[in-house]
Amino acid sequence: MKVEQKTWAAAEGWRSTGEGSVGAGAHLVLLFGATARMRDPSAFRQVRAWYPEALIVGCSTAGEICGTKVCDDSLVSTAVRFERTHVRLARAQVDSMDQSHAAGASLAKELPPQGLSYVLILSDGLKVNGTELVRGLRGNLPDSVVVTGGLAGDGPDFQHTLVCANDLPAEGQLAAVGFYGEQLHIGYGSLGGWDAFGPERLITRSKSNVLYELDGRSALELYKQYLGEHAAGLPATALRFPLALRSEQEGSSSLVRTVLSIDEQAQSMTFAGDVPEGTYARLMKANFDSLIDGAAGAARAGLERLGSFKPDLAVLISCVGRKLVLKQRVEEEVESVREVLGPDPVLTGFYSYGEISPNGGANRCELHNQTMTITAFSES
Amino acid sequence: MTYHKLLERQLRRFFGALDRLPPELAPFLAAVNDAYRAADEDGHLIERSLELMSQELTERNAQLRMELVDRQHVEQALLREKAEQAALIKKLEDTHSQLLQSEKMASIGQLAAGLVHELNNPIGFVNSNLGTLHGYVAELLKIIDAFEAEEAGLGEEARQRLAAIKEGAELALLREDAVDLVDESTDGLRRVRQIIRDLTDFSHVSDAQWQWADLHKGLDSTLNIVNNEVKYVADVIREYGQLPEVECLPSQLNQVFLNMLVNAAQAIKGKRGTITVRTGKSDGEHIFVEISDNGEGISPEIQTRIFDPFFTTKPVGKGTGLGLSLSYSIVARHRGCIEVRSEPGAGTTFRIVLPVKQEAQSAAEPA
Repeated sequence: MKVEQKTWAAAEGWRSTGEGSVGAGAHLVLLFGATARMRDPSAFRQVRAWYPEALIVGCSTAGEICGTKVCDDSLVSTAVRFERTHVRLARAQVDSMDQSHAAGASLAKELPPQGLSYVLILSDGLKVNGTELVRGLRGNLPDSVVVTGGLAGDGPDFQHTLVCANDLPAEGQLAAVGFYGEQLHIGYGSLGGWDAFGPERLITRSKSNVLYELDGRSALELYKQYLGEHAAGLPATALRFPLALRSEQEGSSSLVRTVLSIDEQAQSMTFAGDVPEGTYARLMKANFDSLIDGAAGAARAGLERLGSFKPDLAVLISCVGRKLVLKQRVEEEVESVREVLGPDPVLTGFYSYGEISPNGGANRCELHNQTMTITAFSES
Repeated sequence: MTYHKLLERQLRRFFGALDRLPPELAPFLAAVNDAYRAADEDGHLIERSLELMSQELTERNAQLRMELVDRQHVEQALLREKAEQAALIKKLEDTHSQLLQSEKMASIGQLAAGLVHELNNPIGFVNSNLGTLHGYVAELLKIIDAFEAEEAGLGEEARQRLAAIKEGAELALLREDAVDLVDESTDGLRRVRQIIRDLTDFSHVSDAQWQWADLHKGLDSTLNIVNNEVKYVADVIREYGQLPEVECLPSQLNQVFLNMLVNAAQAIKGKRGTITVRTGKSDGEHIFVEISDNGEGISPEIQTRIFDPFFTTKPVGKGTGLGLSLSYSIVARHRGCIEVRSEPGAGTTFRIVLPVKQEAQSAAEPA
C-alpha cells in the first residue's frame, strides 16, 4: 500500500506533506475540507486531475486532520494505491432523516458481499439519523464485515454538510466504499473520555433522535440552565454537555449522544442518534486529560486489532465536541495517536458530527458521539 | 486589542507600556489571550455546573427523604394493620374456642337439666316414702313392744310358737337395724339430692347473666363435681377467707375453678398430694381465689404458652388444650387476671384476681 498526502490552505495553496509516490495510479482518494472549500468545484477538479482513475470520496468537516495538524478552512487529500485490494463505491441520497434506514440498507445492498472485508461510510451530517443509518447497514451486510466512518461536519455552524461520492460534493449524500481482498487488514478503536456528572435523568419524552423531556422537564431548558450565557451559542455550545445514555436492557452498552440542532418552538433538541424513551441520561463534561487519553486508547485498540501488521494509513474521525472543548489544545489528541501508532503511518481524518465504529469486542458497528474513532489500514 | 486582565497585567509588568510591544508578537499574544479567556470560560462553566448539580442533588435528596418518611408512615400503618389483624385472629381463635366450650357446656347443661328433671320426681317420692316408712317402722316397733308386754298372758304353746317366729325373723337385730336403715337411706338420698343440686348449680347455662354470687358456694359445688377425680390423688384443704358477694357470671367462674382443680389433680403424680383452695380480698375492690397443688410444676419454657388455645401437654385424647385458654378469656371478660407461679418439682399456684363489682359497660354485655 502506498499513500501520498496533499493539503491546501488559503495562504499557501496546495502543497505535498511528504514524498509522494502514488501519482496517477491511485485507487482511492480521501478528501476532507471545510464546507466552503468543498463546495468550490475547483477543489474536486484539481484532485481529479491528479488522480484520474481514483475513487474520490470525502466530506465537509468541523476541522481537517493532516498528520498531527488540525486545520480549519483547509483541504486535505490522501491518495492510496493498493497492492492487492480493490475498492468499490456505493452512493445514496436522502432528503430527510426518516430515509436514513433505507439509505443504509441500499448502500449495503449495492456492495457485492463476495470478498467484502471492510466498509468505510461517509454520510451527510445533518439530514441523517446515524442510528438508523447504522441499523440499515448492519441489517444488510454480512456480520464479518467491519464498518467504520462518520457524519460530515460544518465547523461549529450546523448549517450544511457535504459528501463527495466520486463527484462534486453535495448535500444529503452518502458514500460507502467497499474494500475487497484478503490482504487488507483493518484495526479500529473508538473511545470518548468524557465524565458523566450530576443526577441520572429518565428520558420521559422523545421520538427517535429528537429529545423533548428529561424527568418530565424540558430538556432544552435544562441545557440552557447549565449553559448560562453560553445558551446563546446553541446548538454548538450544547456539545460541551453530551448525554451519556444507559439502557436498562440487558447486554446493551452505554452510548454518548451529541446535539445537532434545537427547535425553540417545539422545545426540542435533535441528536445525532437515537435517544429512546425509557433510557437514562446523564450530562457529561470534558476532562482534558481523559479526552487525550481516550484518543490514545482508541489508537491502541486499533493497533491491537492489527496484530503483527504495521499500519500504513490511519483515518481519524473525531467529534466536533472534542474540538470545541479542547480548542487550542486539540492537536494534543492527534499527537497522542501519533505517539501510539509511531512515525510511519500517514494520518488523515476530520472532526465530525458523529462517528461510526464497532463498540468493544463485537463487529457490530454503532453510532458514537464525542469519541475519537480510529481506523488503521495495513496491506500484507 | 483588549487583553485578558491577567495577561494585561503580566504584559505591563514584563514589557512596560502595552504600546511598546513588538507588533510581530500580536498573533502570538492573541492566541495566548484566547487561551486565557477559554480557560476562564471553562472554569466558569464548570463552577456553574457544579452549583446547579449540587442544587439538583440537594433537591433530589430532600425529595428522597420525604419519600422515605412517606414510606415509613406506610410501613407503620401496615404494621399497625398487621397487629390489628393478629389481634383479630387471636380474638377469632378465642371466640372459636369459647364457642366450642359453650356448645360443650350447653350440651352437658341440657343433659344435666334433663337428668335432674327425670331424677327429681322419683327422688321426691322415694324421699317422701322414706319419711312415711320411718314413721311406720317406729309405730310397728311400738306395737311389737306392746305385744311382747302381753305375751306372759298367753298359753305355753302359743308362747313357744311366737318365740320360734321371733328367732326366725331375728327380731332383736331387726328392731336394732330397721330405723338405722331407714335413716341411712334418707341420708343417702339427701346426698343424691345435693349432687343433683350441685350439678344444676354448676351447669347453669341458661342463667349466664351477670349476678351477685357467693364464690364459696361455687367452689364447693365444683369441688363436689370433681370429687371423684380428686379424692384418689389428693386431699383438699379449704382456706376460705372473708369474701363479699361478687358480680360475675357464676357458671362461667365455676368452669374456671373446674379447669384449675382438674389440672391440679392431674399434676400430682406418683404420691398422694394436697390441693389447697384459698380465697380472700386482695384490696378493697378485688378478691382472689388461689388453687395450689404440690404436683410436678410447669417448666419455664412452656409457662408462656399455657394460655394459648390448643396448647396441651396431656396425651392425645386427654386434653383439648382449651381449658386454660378458656379460663383466661372468662377471667379477662370479668376484667380480672390469672397469675401463675410454678416451680418444677414443687408445684403450681394459679391465682385468679377478680373485681368485686363490674364496670357498667361490661356488666351490660350479654353473656
